[in-house]
Amino acid sequence: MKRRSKMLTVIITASSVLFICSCSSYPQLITSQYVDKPVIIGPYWKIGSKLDNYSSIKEQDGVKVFETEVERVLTVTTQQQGNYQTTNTYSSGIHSDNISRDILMQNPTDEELILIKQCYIGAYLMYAPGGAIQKTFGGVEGMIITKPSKGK
Amino acid sequence: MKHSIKFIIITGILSFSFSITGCAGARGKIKLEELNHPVSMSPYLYDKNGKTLSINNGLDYSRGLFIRKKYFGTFYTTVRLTGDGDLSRQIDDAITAADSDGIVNFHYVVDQGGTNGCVPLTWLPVWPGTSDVVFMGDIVKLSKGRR
Repeated sequence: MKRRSKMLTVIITASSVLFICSCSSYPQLITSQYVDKPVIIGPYWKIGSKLDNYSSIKEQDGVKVFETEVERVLTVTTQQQGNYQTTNTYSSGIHSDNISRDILMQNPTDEELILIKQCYIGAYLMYAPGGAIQKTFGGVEGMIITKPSKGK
Repeated sequence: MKHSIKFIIITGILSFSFSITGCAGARGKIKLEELNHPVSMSPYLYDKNGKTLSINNGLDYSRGLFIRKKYFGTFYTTVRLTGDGDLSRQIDDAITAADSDGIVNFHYVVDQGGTNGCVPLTWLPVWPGTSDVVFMGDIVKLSKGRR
């Protein structure tokens, strides 16, 4: 009888952690909506014109480079204290507005072009005895270069 | 001495196993190098003369961009299985279909995929983890006076 109730407790504990983590949606937004200049992704830097050397633009002296990542983390832990089970949920993260802030911190001028070279995304759920971690994250890598001359 | 080394090695292996146990998910990179239209992650875009435009200030809103994409990964998220080639094409197709010139306010939302919660299958390194990503933005075209 005792073994059965122990088994039941373990199953309920494991199921509750799994339920909380797999059913809860905890999405992360990636945006740079607060930047007051165009933040270009891809080779076309303006309507009707592209950067010929887009894929070969690399970090050089004097080029401002930025890299920023934002994330949301949900941690669930369970503890068994006698007949009582406690489930604790913590959430933490880096707000998506940080992307705009990090770009603006570079002080881009009107003669410069903000270029996103690469965005990245990721999400994982780590489940282990006693708890689970759910993380969604994303970010951008880019640089601020001098605007191409007129007509290009 | 031999026993303590053995103990440390076993503890190390067990710790590593526990740290990755049940970890399922996916990572992805978005480069969009094959795009044929300008896309901006802010509300602004340059016109042909390099002047900054925004919606109702040189640009007209056509319609919204909404693309769902699933990224796959395996071996506890370390191996990426999804590229972004088709995403460039989808964005270009959406702009062309709207007879427009570009996109402003491009942003995306990352979330867990359904396969990440399938314990105990996620303990297997070959189990495919997923990330659901929704790409959004405002498809815009130049105002009539600026064409």
